[in-house]
Amino acid sequence: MEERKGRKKKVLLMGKSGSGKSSMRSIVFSNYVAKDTRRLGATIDVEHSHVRFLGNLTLNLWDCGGQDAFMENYLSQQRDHIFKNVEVLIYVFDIESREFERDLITYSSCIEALRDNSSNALIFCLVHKMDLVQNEMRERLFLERSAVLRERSRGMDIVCYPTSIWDETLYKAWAQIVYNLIPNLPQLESHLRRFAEIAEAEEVILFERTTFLVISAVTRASEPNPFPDRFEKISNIVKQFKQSCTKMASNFTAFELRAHSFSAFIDVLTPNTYILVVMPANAAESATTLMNIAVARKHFEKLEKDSGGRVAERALDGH
Amino acid sequence: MIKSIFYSHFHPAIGPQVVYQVPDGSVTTGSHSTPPLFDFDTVSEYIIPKQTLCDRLVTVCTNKYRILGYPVVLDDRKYARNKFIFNFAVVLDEDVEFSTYKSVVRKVAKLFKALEEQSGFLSNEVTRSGVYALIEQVMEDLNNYSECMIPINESNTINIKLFPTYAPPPPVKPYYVPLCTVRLEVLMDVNWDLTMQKIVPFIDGINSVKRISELADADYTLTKKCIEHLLYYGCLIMVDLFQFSAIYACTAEISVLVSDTSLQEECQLYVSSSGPLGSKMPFPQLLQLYTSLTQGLTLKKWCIENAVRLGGVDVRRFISFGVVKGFLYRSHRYPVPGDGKRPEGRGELARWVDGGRHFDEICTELGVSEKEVLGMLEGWDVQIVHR
Repeated sequence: MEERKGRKKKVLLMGKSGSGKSSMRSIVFSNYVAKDTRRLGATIDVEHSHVRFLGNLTLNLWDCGGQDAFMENYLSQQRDHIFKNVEVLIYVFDIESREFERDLITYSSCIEALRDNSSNALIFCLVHKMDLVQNEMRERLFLERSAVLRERSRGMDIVCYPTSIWDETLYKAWAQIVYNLIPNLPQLESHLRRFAEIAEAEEVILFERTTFLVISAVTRASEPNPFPDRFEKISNIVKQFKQSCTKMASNFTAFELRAHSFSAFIDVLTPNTYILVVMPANAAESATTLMNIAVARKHFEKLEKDSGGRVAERALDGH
Repeated sequence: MIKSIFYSHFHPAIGPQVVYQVPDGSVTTGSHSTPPLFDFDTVSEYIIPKQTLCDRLVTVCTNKYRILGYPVVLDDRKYARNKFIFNFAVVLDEDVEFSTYKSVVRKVAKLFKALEEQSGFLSNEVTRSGVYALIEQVMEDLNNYSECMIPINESNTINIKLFPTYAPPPPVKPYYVPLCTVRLEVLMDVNWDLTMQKIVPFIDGINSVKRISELADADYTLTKKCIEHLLYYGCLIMVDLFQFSAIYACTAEISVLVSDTSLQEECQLYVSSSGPLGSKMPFPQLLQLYTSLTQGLTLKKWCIENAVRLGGVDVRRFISFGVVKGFLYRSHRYPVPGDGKRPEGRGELARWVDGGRHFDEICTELGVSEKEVLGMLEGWDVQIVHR
């Protein structure tokens, strides 16, 4: 039992009907591109999906249909069933909603149910469909909304992100959410840093393989990069490129880019991860970098397996 | 009796929603003070279900009611969430026979699916408003007349008739003896099946199915089929081959005969050899005769022992009355190979001596008497088991 708890993390995805929960899920976890989501139907009741994420982490995703009748049901008859053992609640708000006040009331009820049943759960609020707001208004509107949300969260800590399925903000938010769920992350990060140092890379980024969400990144460059959201942009681009590859009935495996000021490599690292290595110009032959990745591969695979094994061991101790 | 019919659909903002219900307040309480038959929210996932349960009959029981529904999903970009899900459900008492209503629910679903596809009948609020009157009429007509014919528009009509359905009859064996419960020759007319016309004169409670086909010069498979049909509609009951070598004994049901006086009278009339108008044997004497039938006593021996008391009794009718009413049972005789294995070689007969077939079956299949079979078995390593 404990082992299962350690491995499976229950993630609730809630929000009003039509706010974009299923669309998000399809893009992040099912390789949809944004325009495919127009074909999606409404979610009936709860749709469960298990997403394997790294070796020892499985997300148990509960996509909860947001129609009023369902919401009432979650909060009454299914209250325990829905809100017990939750690790993460992701609550999605449609920025264009005409009944924000009403949405807030439902939101507060959900938070209350969560507080009663899973007091340690993390809460993320996504202010969604930001693409529908004029560019210059976004920042202000988002801050306004998140302030209100914080106020209505019954004392629970929340983290807010502005999101849109039409740009990389979706990946940013989800990468942050998932980041909070990965066990043994400091260990993984220190190893990644060591690798970056040994390979003399400017920047090393670890992506999850199917979702292409950023798991961890190490930057060694001296000057700050002018594009703080570059990781999410890469996620977005690679994801779309992967989608095009599938249309051509082929698979994306690796990528290599040589520019005059840097070179970049994307390659498979472990069965669950991709690595992006950015090298300064003329620092090393590309073959050397690829070899470095190959050598690191075994090491990271072992690391991933070990951490999985350790969870199991801990579970055994518990018995 | 239909308790309620309701139309529900998936509303893009509200979710599963009961739109029309007859009688009012039977599913969701509106202005009514009486509580609904059941709580819609708890079963809504089976009324407006996920895609996997759509386009099939879905039955759910709750609060002593059975809800028969046929959720339909239509995919089209014109709908708000690319899908339109609706269901016309019928509510019955949980313990009533509901198989007849299955086709009703299925038919209504398919009809409205077609209407929706043709003209958006249900998604258009104007045309949809007629649904209440329709389901009200369907419920009323089916409950009162078991059928309905309700025009929806100039080209569509709801035509429904409730047909009773029976369980499939048990398989018919060649050695079974059919006994009529109705006068088939009166019911029959020239339009009946040819085999049926040929075999009916030979159904007399004495001939086995195989023998009937032989006597009528009809194909055995066709005969069997006819008999199965008659059995399905309850025109026949099956008794076993009447033989004096057979053994009968009483079941516990005999107590019913003792307490039920009308059954006693029926028995007296039926077993009388001089017809219903003839003299009646006193019941205590009949009962004594029934109870004197026991294991190990063949009918032949029994007749000899009770010869004096059997005056005015038709022994065949006496026995078949007991078998039909269930207070007598036949003790069959099974030839069982001594070593547990089927004897090899030895021709046709060996095929039937596997321990699982009794003499009636073997005799009918081979077309010989029991005595002859016993003669043929002489010298074999075979035990005769009664059970």
